[in-house]
Amino acid sequence: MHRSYGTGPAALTDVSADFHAGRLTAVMGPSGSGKSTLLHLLSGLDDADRGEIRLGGTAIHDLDEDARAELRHQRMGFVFQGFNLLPGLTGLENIRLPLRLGRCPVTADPHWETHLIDLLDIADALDRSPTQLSGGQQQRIAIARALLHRPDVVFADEPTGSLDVATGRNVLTLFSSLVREHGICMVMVTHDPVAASMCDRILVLRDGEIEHDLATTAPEELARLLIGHVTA
Amino acid sequence: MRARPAGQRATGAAMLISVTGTVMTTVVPGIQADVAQKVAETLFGGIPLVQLILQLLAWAFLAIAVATATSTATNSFRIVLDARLEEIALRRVLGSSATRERRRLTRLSSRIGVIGALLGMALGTLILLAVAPGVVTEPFTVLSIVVGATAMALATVTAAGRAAREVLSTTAITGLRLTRVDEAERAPHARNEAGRALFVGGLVIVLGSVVASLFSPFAILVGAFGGVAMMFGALSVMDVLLPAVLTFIARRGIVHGAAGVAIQSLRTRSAGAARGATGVFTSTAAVTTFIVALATLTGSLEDSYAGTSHEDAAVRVLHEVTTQFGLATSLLVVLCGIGLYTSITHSIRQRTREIATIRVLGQRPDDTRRMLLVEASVLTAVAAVPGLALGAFTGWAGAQDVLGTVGELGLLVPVLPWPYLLACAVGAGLLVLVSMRSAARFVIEPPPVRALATA
Repeated sequence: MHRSYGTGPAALTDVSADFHAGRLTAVMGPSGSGKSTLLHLLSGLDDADRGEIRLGGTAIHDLDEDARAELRHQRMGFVFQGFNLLPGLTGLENIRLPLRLGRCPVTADPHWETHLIDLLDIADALDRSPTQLSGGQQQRIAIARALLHRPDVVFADEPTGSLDVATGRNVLTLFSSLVREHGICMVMVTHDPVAASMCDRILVLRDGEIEHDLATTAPEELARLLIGHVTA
Repeated sequence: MRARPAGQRATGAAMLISVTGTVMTTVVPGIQADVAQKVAETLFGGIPLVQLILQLLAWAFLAIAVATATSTATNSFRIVLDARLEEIALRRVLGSSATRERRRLTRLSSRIGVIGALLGMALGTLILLAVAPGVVTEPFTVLSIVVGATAMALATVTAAGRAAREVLSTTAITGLRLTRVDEAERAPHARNEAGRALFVGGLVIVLGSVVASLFSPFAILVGAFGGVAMMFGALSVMDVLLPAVLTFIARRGIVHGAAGVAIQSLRTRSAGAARGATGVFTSTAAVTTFIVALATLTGSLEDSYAGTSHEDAAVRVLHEVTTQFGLATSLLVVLCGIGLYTSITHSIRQRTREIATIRVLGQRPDDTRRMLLVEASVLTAVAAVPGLALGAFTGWAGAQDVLGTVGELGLLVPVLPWPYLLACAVGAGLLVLVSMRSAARFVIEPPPVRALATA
């Protein structure tokens, strides 16, 4: 994939990567290294200047906007850094929102919904407006929203950035178990070496290129690699 | 496509409404004075009661024009200032005090009010010079132009002051959504109570004026006062009516899919949605009032003079009245149309982030358009139906107040000119559609990630 904006340097320069079911991948790198661009291209939210993006046998780069929307609705889940919960809906209505959006209905599994609510400890937040919830509660609602329809792929942009250390660790443990038990492919952008160290694979981007493609790595080593960016 | 900042759009919309409102307060009383002059030249001019009624009508129309224009300006200003909510909150977080922000908004609204009033006065005078040059220098016309322009300028400043109080009554971090909010604290209970009292009080006064019209021509003044009270009271009627209807639709499970999301979204942000509905409600009520009043006045007088020696003179006078008030109604339609367009476009643009999120989660652009259309249609239907009913009532009451003491007319039969009313409803629907599509372009055309980044 190659993507540039305007006349400046390319946001991504001929990056090639594959992501597998049942694996949790962290994407790291300094600001402006192309992490968010990679996430947007992979999820079909943006178009590459050249290159191909495939989800299983589906060529996302060939789909029109309607087909991409349906693909996101059926097979993808999103966790945003800024939560992006709808302020007009309660916690539970936000969780169930994706079920109501597409043309091909997606049915909720009540046992799965209850399981997620228990796992994320959000029973108290279900009837409340997002404006009445803490940042951590909002993020956990957003995570439940991303997982309720059992997507094949989950894209998460700094999912633990707004959480305290303990909650963040619980969320990452949850991600790991979901990925393994349910064969979900998860791609997570993070700046946190501790969070990345809990992933099966870590891609480190620099200036729009993949600089390192690592298996599970200790946080100290990741921190050293990232600090190396600054001092280099 | 490069969108202007929300603050600039809000200022432009407020200025446009201020100008159009002042045009209306300038032109409508002038037209009434012109009609009075023309009637005075006929054999009806020699009847003292007719002269008295015409004078009273002139003041009543000035009051109605000012009330309609100022209530539209008030509602629209509340909507457009919402667009600056986050900007104001950010300024406060960065160190600006609430007092300073209030002063800044007052200066801005004063500029809009004064410049809008001056421009509107100039434009309205030009229109009057074109359609009724004989009345421009009449003392009543000059007085009504000054009164109307002053009222519009004051209404803009007052509306801004009230909206600023609402905006500044919350803390800066709440405005930036950096902290939790207790929704119950934000419910405008006191305003609702006062608005309902004003509306019901106005209704009682109008009903009283109908009874009084059988005995005194001065009933029109009382009726106009009641009508003005109802118009301002109506600003909070939608705060009560809209949530009730939306809750009914949601609980009955009448709509599903994108439409269901639209209803749910409207229901849970009903305070903001009610402002848009209020614009539709007051606009429909005001236009219908003029149409029904005119139809009832002309219908009753035609019946009354049919077959008499005064029939030809009466027909000429009524033709004059119809033509002139048709122009006044057209101006009202333009004012209401601008108010309606402003309400809908601002309410959609303020939700750019929300709509972008829904699209990222998998909603197709066509379904997003459908969702926005459902929202706009529900708002229009909920507001326009009671607006039509209220307008029909106040239009009939106005005609009754004017003609109650004339001859043996007694209680008038209301005349509902269905083709005009239907055209009015269809026009409102089309305007809603155009406004929705226009605003939807800005939230649907850019890729959702760009909308999320810039919202």
